[in-house]
Amino acid sequence: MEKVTNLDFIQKFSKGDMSRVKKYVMMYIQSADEEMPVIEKSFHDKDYKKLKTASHTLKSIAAYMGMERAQQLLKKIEDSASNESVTEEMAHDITQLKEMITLSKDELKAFIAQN
Amino acid sequence: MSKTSTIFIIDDDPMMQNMLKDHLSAMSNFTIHTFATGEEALASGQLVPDIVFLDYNLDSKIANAMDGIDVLREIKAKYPTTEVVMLSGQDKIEVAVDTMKYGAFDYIVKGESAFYRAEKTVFNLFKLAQLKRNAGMYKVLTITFGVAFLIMIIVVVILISKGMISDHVGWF
Repeated sequence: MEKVTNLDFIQKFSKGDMSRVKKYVMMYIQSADEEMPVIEKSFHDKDYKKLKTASHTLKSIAAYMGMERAQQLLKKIEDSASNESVTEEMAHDITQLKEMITLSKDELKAFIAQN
Repeated sequence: MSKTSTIFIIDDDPMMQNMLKDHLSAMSNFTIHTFATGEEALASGQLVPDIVFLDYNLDSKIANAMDGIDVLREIKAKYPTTEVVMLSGQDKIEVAVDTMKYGAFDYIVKGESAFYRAEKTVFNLFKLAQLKRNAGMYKVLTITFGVAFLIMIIVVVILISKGMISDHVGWF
């Protein structure tokens, strides 16, 4: 299966300092653990402001983990929440996003364990 | 701005806070303080920042927190010489114009290139501060020479009026 994360940027940014890479990866995992449930709950509750904020936050940090597809999905969710145009398609996008986030955390935890 | 310039990073995203702090710390021995809200930064007492990196969407995560524009206005009112650089996840021209209108020095869109842009902006601010210092020095020099020239003219006029110098050639 193709990887959902790409740490090229974060490794280059950290100039090979593995403790820095690990610090950022751990911060991503923590933020993902916080924001993904908020995205699900706010979608369910039709709380568009919260949905927009959480997807915006997660979009920024996912970018540093090289998660392009997740970024696209989060942008779509954020834009729809801004316009308060939440559709059934978004339910599918959120399910897809959740799978991606779970995969990313597994990949990153494996990366930390190996380094 | 000296080498020990004080920089504030005001952002409710801990990852952005950390990454920007780490990146700028590697540039020079700045004193860097990070804050999650504008309120915390404004209440930081005697600390007067030289440069502030300020998130535009500060009120997104913390309910009732001041937004970036409000904090920008307060900082410029409280510390007029402090330069503020806005950070935003939105690449929108109207947001950039809005921040410049209230005195921001620059506007950086968050992303992979944001850290290098921030580094460049700090470098540009140092250059600007140097130019301002030089301009001030030249102004003082010009005034000093002007005053010295005026005093010389006055002395010459006094000496001429007292007959102590004349335009006669030779010894009296």
